[in-house]
Amino acid sequence: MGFLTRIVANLFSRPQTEAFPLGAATTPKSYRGRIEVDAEACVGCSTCAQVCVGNAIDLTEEADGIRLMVWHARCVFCGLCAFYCPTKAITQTNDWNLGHRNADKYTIVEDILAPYRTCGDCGSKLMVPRVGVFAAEAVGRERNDAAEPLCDACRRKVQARQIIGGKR
Amino acid sequence: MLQFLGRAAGRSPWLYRINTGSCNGCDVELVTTALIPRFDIERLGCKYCGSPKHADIVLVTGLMTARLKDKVLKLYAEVPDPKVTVAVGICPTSGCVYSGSYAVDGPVDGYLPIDINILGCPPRPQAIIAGVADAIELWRERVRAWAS
Repeated sequence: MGFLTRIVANLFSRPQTEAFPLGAATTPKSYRGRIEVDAEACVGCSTCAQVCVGNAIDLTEEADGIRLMVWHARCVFCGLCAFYCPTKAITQTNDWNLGHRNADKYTIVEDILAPYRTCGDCGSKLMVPRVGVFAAEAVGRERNDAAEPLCDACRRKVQARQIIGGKR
Repeated sequence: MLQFLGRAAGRSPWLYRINTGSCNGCDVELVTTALIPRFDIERLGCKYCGSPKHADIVLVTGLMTARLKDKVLKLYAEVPDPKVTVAVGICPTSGCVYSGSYAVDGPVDGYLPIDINILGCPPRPQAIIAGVADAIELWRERVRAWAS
């Protein structure tokens, strides 16, 4: 008689089918989905491109920064780039809905420019990690926090002048 | 009569699966999506069919290996027009981790007219359902245009 009570109970219970195309989908918060890159935190070190199994990440050097592109059609959502990113610029969202028409195939990219900063003395371009991220201690707080950071050559000059007691 | 057929056929597309050398991950996801009651795709009016001659929406998985290319093209030619082609997974779209291999002729959209890409390795069942829902919209447009 157990099955009869089961049948009657099933008549009044809610369906187990996910409502998705007609209602909202349930997505776990920890789901490893689309890659997101924070342009401010990225220093263009190319660690992500080295570890990417699908070769989805491409870095090119431009005049005013390093351009990082992730082609989602090659990304296998493995999360290696997010794991190895030294500045934690790459994060994985739980967005999985990347379906698109084939005409938009090459527009499904994450395209950011990690900007260079300008040397206060000679005006050359240099990449300075943002305060609070990787190597901020190694690079030196005063260099990081300065409104106009110094490039390596200018910093050496400044330090040499300080040692011999000359003016800057 | 033709107009009625166009309206009716638009509501019940039949799905057909072509494996062009997939690792079987996307195929398992497709079967899981369609067959289990949790992600019931038959609510949308879809039904899997075993013959390409009955197909309306073609789901392509895999990255078009060199050995399977001729067979896939032969199979695809048997699907009657109008049809909608959906690439499931990132392999048909880009070749994924296998691109550049001597055994791979892909990406698939160089050989078949792909309409919709569903990304993921493999895609979530929900992503596949979203893509198939998009494909059904496209199929309705095409079958109505064909009937009128």
